[in-house]
Amino acid sequence: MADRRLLVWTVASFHAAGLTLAFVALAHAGGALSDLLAGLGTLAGFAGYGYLWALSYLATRWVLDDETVAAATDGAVRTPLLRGTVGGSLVGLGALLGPLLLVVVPDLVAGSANPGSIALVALIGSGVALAVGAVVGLAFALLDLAALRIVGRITPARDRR
Amino acid sequence: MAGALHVAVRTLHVLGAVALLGGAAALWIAARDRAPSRGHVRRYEWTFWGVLGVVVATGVGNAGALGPPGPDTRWGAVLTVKLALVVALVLGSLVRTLAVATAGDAADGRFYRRAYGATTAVLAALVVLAEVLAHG
Repeated sequence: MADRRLLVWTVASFHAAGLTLAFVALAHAGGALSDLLAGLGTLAGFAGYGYLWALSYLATRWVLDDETVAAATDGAVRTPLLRGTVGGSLVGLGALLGPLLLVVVPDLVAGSANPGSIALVALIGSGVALAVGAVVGLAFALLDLAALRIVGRITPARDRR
Repeated sequence: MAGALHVAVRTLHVLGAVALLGGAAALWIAARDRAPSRGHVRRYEWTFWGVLGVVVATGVGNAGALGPPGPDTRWGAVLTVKLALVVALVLGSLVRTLAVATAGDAADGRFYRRAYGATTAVLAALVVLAEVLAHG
């Protein structure tokens, strides 16, 4: 019987760390890492990472319900990929809306921002965030399933699941 | 204030790496005689992913404070190798933990010996690379 709590914790942490590493590796390869990180304060960076981790944990807990875990360990592909894609799009949406709210709410309260233009930005941004999140979620779901396949090859079938 | 914060970030980064390496090495040594208890293994895996998050976040913080040059410099080339090893560690650890979480008793002493031996080796290599990056 799979330890679902450990699976959720592992996969969520893997997604948060993997996304961050991919961002850092791409920026470093392009020679832009120093410039990108220079504009990011230490505490803001930690808060951002913690927020991404929390979003990833909540989405993974939803994606990896008992039925999906059982299906994935039995070799099913469709359900884990679908749920992983939807989970990724929700993380993308959360990654946009959380910081956006943090920035615009003080301006809205002070009356210095136009609610109409903010709603328009949020609407367009949400579409983009959902699409980008879905692609990232699908990519991570494929990686998770590939890892599960490797586990199936390196451990005996006895007592798996 | 910024200096103290940077020292705190570096300290957390080093302590995190020490915890990951020490735990993996202890389980590897234990697995040389017989399979370590599932309780110990699961506790390490829970800790591993929590601490890894801290190490990654503080690693990015360190890179930001140091202002890394591009990959064409010697320092940048070492950072490229370190990043590649970290990616290998993270991917390999995903497989290792999924095996622990799903394989149950099917994961035997040989599996643990290999898994924690490889984890220890990669983490030790990362410590050496970190030393090179810190001191040239």
